[in-house]
Amino acid sequence: MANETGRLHQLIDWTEKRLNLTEMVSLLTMFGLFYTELNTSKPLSEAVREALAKPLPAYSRWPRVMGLLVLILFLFELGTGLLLAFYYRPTPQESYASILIIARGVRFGWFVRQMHFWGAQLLLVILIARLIRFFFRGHYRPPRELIWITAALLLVTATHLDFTGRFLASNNDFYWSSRRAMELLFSIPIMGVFFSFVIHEIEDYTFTLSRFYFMHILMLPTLFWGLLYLSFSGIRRIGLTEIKGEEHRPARETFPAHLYNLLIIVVFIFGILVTFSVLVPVPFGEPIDYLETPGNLRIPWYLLAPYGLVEIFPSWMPISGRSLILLVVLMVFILLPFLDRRSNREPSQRRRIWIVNFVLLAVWIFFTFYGAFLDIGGG
Amino acid sequence: MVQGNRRIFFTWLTRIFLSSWGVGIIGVIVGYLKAPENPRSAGFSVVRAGDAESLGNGEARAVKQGNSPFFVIRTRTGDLLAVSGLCTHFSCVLNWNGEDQTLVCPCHDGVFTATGDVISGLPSKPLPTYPVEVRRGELLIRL
Amino acid sequence: MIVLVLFFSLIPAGQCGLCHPEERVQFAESIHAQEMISCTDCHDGDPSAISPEQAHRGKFRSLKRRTEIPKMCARCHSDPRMMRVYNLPTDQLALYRTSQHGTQIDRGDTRAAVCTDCHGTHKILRSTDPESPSYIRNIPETCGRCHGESESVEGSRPSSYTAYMQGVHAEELLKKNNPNAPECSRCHGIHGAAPAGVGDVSKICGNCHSAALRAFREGPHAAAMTEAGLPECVACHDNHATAASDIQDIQEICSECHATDSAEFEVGEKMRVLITGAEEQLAKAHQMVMQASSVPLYVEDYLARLEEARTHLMEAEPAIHTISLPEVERSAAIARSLGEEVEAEIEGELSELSLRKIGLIVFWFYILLTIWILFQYRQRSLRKQ
Repeated sequence: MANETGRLHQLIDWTEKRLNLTEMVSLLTMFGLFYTELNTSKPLSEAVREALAKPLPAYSRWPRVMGLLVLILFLFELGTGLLLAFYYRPTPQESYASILIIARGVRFGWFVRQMHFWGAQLLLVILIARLIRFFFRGHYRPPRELIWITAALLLVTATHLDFTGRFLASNNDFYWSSRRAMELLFSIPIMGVFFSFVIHEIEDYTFTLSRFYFMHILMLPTLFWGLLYLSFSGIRRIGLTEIKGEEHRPARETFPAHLYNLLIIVVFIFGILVTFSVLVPVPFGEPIDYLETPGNLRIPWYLLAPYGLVEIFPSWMPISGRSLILLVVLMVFILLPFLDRRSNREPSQRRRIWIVNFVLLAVWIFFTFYGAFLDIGGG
Repeated sequence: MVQGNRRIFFTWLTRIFLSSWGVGIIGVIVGYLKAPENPRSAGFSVVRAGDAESLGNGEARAVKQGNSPFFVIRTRTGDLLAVSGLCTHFSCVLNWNGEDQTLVCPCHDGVFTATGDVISGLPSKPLPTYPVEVRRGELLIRL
Repeated sequence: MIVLVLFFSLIPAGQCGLCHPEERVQFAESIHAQEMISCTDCHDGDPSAISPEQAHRGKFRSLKRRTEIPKMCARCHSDPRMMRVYNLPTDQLALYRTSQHGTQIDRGDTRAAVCTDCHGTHKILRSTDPESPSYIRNIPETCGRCHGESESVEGSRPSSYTAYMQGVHAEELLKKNNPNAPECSRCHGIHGAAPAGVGDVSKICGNCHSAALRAFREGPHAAAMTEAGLPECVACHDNHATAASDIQDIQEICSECHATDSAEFEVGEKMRVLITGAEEQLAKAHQMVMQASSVPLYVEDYLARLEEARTHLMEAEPAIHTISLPEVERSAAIARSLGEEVEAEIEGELSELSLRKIGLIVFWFYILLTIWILFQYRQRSLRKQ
């Protein structure tokens, strides 16, 4: 054993004389692996030892790893997406056929495709769960405003990735659900106009597919990376301070143990994704039929609540009027920190905050079900 | 001593076990990246129709691509062409008649020439024809 | 007035249109007017006269008597030299004389159809013109004017026209625009139209349904029916309201002549069972293929084989006419076995997919073991602390 680690150390020493390894590793960790920065002036082993030796706050347990999970799932999506991009052809004529080849002809193609889909859904779930956690804990109050905004924008970016991804999938159900989501988006005043211009009217499939391909592969992931970095950088600066009263809990874990936790969670999530891929595979669907709107058009699940919200108004209101509420909700959602500037400190307010937050969440869930009911019932 | 050996054994076992994850993932990726050779998965625009040499003048060979039958015909004058093997009347599968160099439909006695034109019977439309290439001794129908 | 007179006199019709404007207008649209034929070529008389007495002088023919019309048309249309330049046949009158219509007219029965009843009187168009009453898709309606409900040609039987319109041939011709579908003249003849004799019906039907005719001739029904004076195909399939044959009707059809406990009825029943069995098998296989294609699996090969099987089944159905069980059995058996093959293979592929599910369980053991090992590492790192 001594021999191997000796050789490894030799290799690291050799490289460290020529490159700043610490800096490279710190680039990686910028996206969340450590809660502190690596000291780039020290050699790698020393810098890592130093970072690992810093005490881990007691509450860095599994609810807090959601940010990291976002990163890991995102990396996973990048990986599977990269593999899919090896075979996908982004022209209207060939896109369906290329996916057919992936799913049928390429070895493990079906697996990669399923994992990409389920990974994306899980990513959305975790982003939503993270926001709910922030919401309940009041983690949008100063100095955490930007954390909240980046988290909200991450969710919006992820939903856009989902729209564009569905569109690229080139099968009838996905295309029409994506279109329906887009219609909802376009109907929002002001922002809708902007969206529809950038995205270009969906009927003209030729241009839209290329734009969506580019957005899905390059623009949106880069935006996502940027937001992730901002998020973690902010956390590193602010620290994981909890509200008053919990600071004194003793540290129970070390960083290495924490990293092992993470690894365990990753393996577990991988297992879940594989389970979904095998047991509940995403069906293949028929090629897109532009002329006929299918009867069982489903809106993507995360948009059910906005859809419910819009539909609750009487139908004589023009759609842009009804969607005004969506705009309001979206603005409140993103700019929440600036609306609720109370400090996070008093414990007496916590119960009230809790109740308010719970009510809002319940309202959102209610609208989700209402939207689903309309969706399935109306058809 | 025995304890130490067992320990080393288990350590190595676990290391191999854990590295099997890495091997598995790399295996999946490499298998995935190897482009499929099967022409049917590369798209349906070319039909492989077997050896070119073994198709003599005045002979026809029936091949299938996916859902559709085709006939690759080398006419008595040596021209190569391919026609669809489905009758244009009710899509029955045609039969080749080598004596008359015609394609006959068993359902309602439709008769086509080797070039796909209707000679007699109920079909009203000629058979679609496709060009045939010879590449490295193999016949390829271009759809 | 002078302009009108001049205008009218420029056209070969002359002045006839002054009193007969309707006919004049109709005639102007006809193929005859295009070929510079004038009113007087058929009606004779004086085309330049303005008063009826002067116009209707001499050899004028009003052609009101229907029995005159065939001969009148034949004056030109049976003249080979005249018709050669238009490439028109000249046998119409000869055929007509053999027809039911012609023989009735010769006997003086004026109810029978003459040339103008089918081709129109003045506005005669080419038969390839969709507005012509003799255009192929208009023929049922044209014949139906006399052979339809409102006329009593058929007596108390339901009229041929009504029956035809209910049948599958009418659907093919009129709804699906199938140019191969027969209308009245295809089976009865055009100018020589006559109902088919008892032994001739199969020959007429066999012009298109050749496989069925071949099979029929091999079987015992051919001789038996001619002997019994039964009109062959029509005995089981209606002559005008021909329905698409459904194997499930075979019991009803056989029982029209055979007792339900007879050996012959048995044969029919067995055939029904064979073919229905094959059809069901193919339908099941097709459904499985469709299920597999949504997974997605490669299904094109299977669909091709199912097509092949269907072709065999299509051969089984005319083979029914041989009344020979082995024939039907053979084709149905091939169709069925192909269907079963496809079904088995798809099941195999689908079960391979369920193999994935077993693999999933094994995989979970693997995952749990990995998690346990990682947990041990974690505990060790905590202890080291």
